[in-house]
Amino acid sequence: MFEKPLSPHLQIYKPQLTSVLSIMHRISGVSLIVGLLLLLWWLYALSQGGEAYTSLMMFMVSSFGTFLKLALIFATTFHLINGIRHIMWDLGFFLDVKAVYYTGWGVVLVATIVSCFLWVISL
Amino acid sequence: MKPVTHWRHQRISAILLLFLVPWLFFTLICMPNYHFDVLSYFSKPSPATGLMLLVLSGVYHFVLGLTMVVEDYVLHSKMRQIIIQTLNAFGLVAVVFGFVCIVQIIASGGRCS
Repeated sequence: MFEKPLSPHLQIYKPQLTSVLSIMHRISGVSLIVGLLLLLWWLYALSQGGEAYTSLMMFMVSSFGTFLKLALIFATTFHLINGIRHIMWDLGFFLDVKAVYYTGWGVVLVATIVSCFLWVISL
Repeated sequence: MKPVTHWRHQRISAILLLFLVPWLFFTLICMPNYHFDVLSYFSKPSPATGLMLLVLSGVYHFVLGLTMVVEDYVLHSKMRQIIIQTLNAFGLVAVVFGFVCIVQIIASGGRCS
């Protein structure tokens, strides 16, 4: 185990696009545990068929299931697109302050459009 | 795990997921929901490989990412280690369970029982 310095205390910083996107990346990532469990449930239902599959399908069309589906679509889309931004930084692109904001708003725009598109075609 | 290994594995799994997640989303959206259609597609070798890679890289990416979050926010070092070990155990169980299901999907040969 390696000791690392603690993160800055979020509550004493003024929210900015950069910090908001950074914490949203973490929140969306952690919330994707639900997506992972749903993936495992889906694999189980698919392998067993019959009642197991029917109950998953019933759950997904229920109002809670629909809410989860829409929330997961947004969390996945945002995390994936912001993740591309992180990989770009790792490769040494878009690292100056202007580009960080520019790509940040780009992520907000693209994630919103893609989520809306997926929401519409998945309903 | 050395921090640099953690960092590299996080990126490798991220790049795999960059392709696998959109693939699964669009495959499911374009396909009828019936058990027969979904089973017969995913029991074929290439889609089943995709599913295995997705489970493996997805769970691994999640465990690595959440470990980072826990290391940042959990102050008590004993507690931190317990949570991380639990997380690793969860990851192992999740991957094995997912693989067992996928093996059954392949073994079905696409025929509903």
